[in-house]
Amino acid sequence: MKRASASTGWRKQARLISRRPVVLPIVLFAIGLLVMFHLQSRTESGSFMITMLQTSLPLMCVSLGQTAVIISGGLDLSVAGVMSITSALAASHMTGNGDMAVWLPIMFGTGALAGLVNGLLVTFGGLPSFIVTLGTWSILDGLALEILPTQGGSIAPGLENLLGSNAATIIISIGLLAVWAVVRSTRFGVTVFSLGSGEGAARQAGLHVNTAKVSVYVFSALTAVGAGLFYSAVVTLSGSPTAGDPFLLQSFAAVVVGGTALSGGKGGFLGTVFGALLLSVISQIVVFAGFQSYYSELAYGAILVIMVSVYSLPTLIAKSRRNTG
Amino acid sequence: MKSAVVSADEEERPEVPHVRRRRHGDGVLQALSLVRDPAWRARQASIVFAYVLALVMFVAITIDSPGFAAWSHVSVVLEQAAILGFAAIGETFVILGGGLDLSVPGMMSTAGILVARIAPSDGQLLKAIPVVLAIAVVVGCVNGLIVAYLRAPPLIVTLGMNSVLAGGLLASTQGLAGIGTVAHGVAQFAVGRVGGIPVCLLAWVVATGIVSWLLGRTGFGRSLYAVGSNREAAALAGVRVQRVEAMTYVVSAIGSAAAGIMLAGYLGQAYADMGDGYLFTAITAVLLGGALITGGSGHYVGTVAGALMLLFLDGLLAVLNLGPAILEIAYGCVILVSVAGTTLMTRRSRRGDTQERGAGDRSREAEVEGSV
Amino acid sequence: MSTGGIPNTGDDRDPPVRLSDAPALAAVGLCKSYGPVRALDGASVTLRAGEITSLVGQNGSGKSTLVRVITGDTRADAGEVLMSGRPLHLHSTRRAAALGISIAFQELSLVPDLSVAENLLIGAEPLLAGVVVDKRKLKRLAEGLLEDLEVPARFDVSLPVGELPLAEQQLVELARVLARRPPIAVFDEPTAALGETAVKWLFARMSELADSGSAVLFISHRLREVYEISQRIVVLRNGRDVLSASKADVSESELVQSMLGQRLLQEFEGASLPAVGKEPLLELEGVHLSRGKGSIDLRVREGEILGLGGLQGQGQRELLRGLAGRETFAGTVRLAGKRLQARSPTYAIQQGICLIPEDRRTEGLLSGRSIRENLFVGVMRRGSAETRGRGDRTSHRGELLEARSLMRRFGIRATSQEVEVGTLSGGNQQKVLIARSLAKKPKVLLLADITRGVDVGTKADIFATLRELAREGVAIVLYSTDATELVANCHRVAVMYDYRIQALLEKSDLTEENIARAAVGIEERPNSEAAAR
Repeated sequence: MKRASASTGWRKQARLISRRPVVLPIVLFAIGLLVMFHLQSRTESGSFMITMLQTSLPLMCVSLGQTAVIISGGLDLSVAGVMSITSALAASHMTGNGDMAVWLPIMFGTGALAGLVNGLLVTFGGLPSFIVTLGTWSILDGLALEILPTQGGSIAPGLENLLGSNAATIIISIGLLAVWAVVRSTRFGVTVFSLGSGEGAARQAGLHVNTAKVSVYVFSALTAVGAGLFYSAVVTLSGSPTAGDPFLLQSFAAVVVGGTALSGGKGGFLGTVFGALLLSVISQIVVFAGFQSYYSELAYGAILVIMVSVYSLPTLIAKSRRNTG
Repeated sequence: MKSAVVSADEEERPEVPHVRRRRHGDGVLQALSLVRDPAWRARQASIVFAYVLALVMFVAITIDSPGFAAWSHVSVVLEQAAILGFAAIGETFVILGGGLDLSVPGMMSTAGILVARIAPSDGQLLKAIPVVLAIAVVVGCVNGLIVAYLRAPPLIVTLGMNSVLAGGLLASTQGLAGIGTVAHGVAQFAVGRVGGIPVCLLAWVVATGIVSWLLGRTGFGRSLYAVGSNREAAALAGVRVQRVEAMTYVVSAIGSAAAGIMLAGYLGQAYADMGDGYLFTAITAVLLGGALITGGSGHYVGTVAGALMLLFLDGLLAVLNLGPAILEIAYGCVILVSVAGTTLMTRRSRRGDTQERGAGDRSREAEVEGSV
Repeated sequence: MSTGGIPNTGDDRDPPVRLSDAPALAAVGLCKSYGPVRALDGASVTLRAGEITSLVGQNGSGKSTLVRVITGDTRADAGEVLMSGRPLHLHSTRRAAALGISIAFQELSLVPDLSVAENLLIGAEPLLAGVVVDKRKLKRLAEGLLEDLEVPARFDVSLPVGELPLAEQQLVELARVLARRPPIAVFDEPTAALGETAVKWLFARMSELADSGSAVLFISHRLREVYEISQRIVVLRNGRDVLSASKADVSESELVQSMLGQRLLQEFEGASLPAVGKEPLLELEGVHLSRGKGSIDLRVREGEILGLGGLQGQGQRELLRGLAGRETFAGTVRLAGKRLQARSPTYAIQQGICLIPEDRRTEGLLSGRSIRENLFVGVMRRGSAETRGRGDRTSHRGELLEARSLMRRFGIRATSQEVEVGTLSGGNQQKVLIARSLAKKPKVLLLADITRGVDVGTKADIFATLRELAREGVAIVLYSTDATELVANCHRVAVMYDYRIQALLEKSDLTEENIARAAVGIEERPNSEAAAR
């Protein structure tokens, strides 16, 4: 009798995690915060938290798009390239405030074009998303390198003034969540979810499945442009042709830790936000615990591998229990 | 009625003449009989095409710049191709099995740094090589176990592993420039010559032979193609699918380690991100060689042609004075075109594979989308 | 009366309809081939307004393809679909839905992470400013919908539908279709997960729908239900409609016989079955294929061909896959007296049990590979005389020769052994799979419905081969949905129903009629080894 209740308790928790996947990243983030406060009490100050939020914004922004793509059942590797080319364009051509009017649309347009290419090849070419976006990533990285061969340059200070304040940070964070909430509650959002878990109902209901599939890659690219802009203009204050590369892994990590299933059809941005925040907290913990910041990459990689394994366990257990009656 | 399997003696004389010769002679001649088979020849078309393309590119370059064809230059290009070739061995196995390995660059750098650090001179090589190999096996096993047994998406797992390796390297080298010298033996492994021929090229030829034997003549190779082609069918036929899939990641790690050592020897030094350029190129080489990204089709002999093509592309761009940026753009375009090409060709020859499901509408088309 | 170009939503309740001349939907002479396989071979189905028509047929009969053509999921190679006499061009499911053809899928088409309300009103959500979904109105509409339909369950429409138990998910799927009152409604195996009350409710709603002028197509394996709800019955077999009659004109067993096949084929007659050995080679004791289902006891002797019959989905697949080691079930299995716990097909094959799978395309063939590679994949039985030096691998030369010999022995027609196996005809493909299994020298051979989509000549070859094997002492379990085949080729037949053996027919009782009766659950015969003694 006792054993039965113990095992059902465990099983109930597992079911809770798989049904409300947001729970885990929130819990982990809370734990991470506590550890961080313990290691370095001055971090409890409000300004520190805001700064940390600000540094996480690029990741949150790019992960917004990645979340959508993953829910639709695909993967977008080219976000790294989009961020890089955005950074390169900004640092080489958008150096003065007057340039913004011309170059901001160009940057977003470039991103949209890249997303369009991805979306068309995946939807109408029937090619696997990981290889298509691998190809466009390389193309974009090459273009970025051509535009800005070395790190440096400066970006229109007006952008930093606009976006760099604490207030702006909070507004943007809320804004990202709002964007998700809106997208999620449009027909587009509904279609994206159905893409990841059987398009049958959506097609039946007259939803434009192909349009949604293409659009989700355009959406992802646009969020990557935003992320690249913020990163270059506010966080690093300079441009780099490889700005986006570290964000690829981090965007996957944020989404996976956040509970969105890689198989598609499930999940949401709220979890991703906490996933992104968790990664920031971890990099702070790494520094405060006395390790150099180099260990962050190691930590991110380890987290990704571990979390992916953890989330794969339930299906494994379910499969091995089949039919034993 | 005769039983299903008839021993070779009772069988009537095959069409190939001179079958009375000794065993290894027979092997060669039976291989020849395969070559005579038009159906077999048709299926190697993409590999032949790849070699033709490579040749065309080579000729194009030498027309513009005849110095390219000089042995002193070509041999260096072949050295570089050998390094890429080794990195692409593992990627070939993994892609054939239906997966992908993004941890190749991390493993290469790790191997390069380790061998330079543990064996600054030849005396310690005997200690360094087994250590590097052991680490490669561990990395491969972790990748393989998580992907094959936990059925986690290979792209994510190997991407994470790459960061673990690269991050670990960064941390251990403290972000410093790297190690400026390598043991003489390691350098010789890469750039040494035997009768004018680079040692690494000879090593590559030997490796190609071994890999081809593995793919074509062993149970493992047969099972690998089966797993990549139709996992469920392979499982029902008795193939140990998980074991085979996991093994590909181990092979990949070992191949990358060898490539990393060779690269360190070639450069004469080792630094934390030395392997970074090899991710795109290794995968592209495999795709150019005619392999299907979804697995089950392709061969290392094709990858070799792909590696050569990429090096020639590099040379072509250098001759035309186009920088590394254009090269990256070219890689991306090549990936897209080759995947689109092979997918189109397969689709045309496999008309009718979609949607005919008898057993209870259980399946949808095997979408690679969600299964990466 | 319904006409073409009908809006999808709306509460127009047409007055009760008289059956008019042009049927609401008519599929005429549909043909569809997937590569070398003919899924539909001139199938015709007529749906009339105000009528519930049932479509019955085994998988592989073309039923699923027919449904796909009607709902616009795929296009037929020949034949046409007419709505009220007008030919349709159904190039997409969206178009079909816009024309008023609505389907409740067998494998639910719900999106698990979306709420019940979102799923119910997918595509017809109330919008604020034309962009964002009005969540409150959505909730109200959804609740109202469920109430109007008197759905026999309460649920919170804001919950993600994936969290509901399967039966309730099914109700949501059905409600989705019923709510739109489509002129043509297709229900594909809707009662699979439903309890009695829910089934009653569904039938009441379906009747209502028909009374209001819609044409309803009901697809089910459950013949009791088919008789309860429908006015007309259409039987599909081998891609063609073999029976189309009003319910009153056809009895249940006639129905089953036309589903299971009733042909007299000369090549089956006259061939006698070899004598059976004394010793049981394969024994099943207390096997439960699923929780709560009955126990199975069976003994297959050396050289015996035991048939496995019954309608599809009664556990035959699970039984065979469990024996082959691909799935697990509870109970004891003994091979030549020794207990066998096959945890994987690798192990099972090494012990001598081989399965030739049901769906050669998804479970059997490596379509991009050559015939030779398909012949020699995977392990062999341990200890078989032909296992050579290095594990299971023969020399390359030996393999080439062996491939040629196998192709000749089984009559596999192809220009060479290097030909890609995906280009072969269905019959040849099946032969490759059989040759593959036989090359593993099995002691027990399991065949899962392998004659589906195979030409008559190949079938005869296959059964001749099976007789040969039986003479050599191999125990054979032959699952087939074709009763005639079973009668002509088996020593005994175990008919399965509801995951257990409904009847175990000895040679003296082995007729198509008896198989058909047992297949629908009629209990008259002994159903286990013990009772047979």
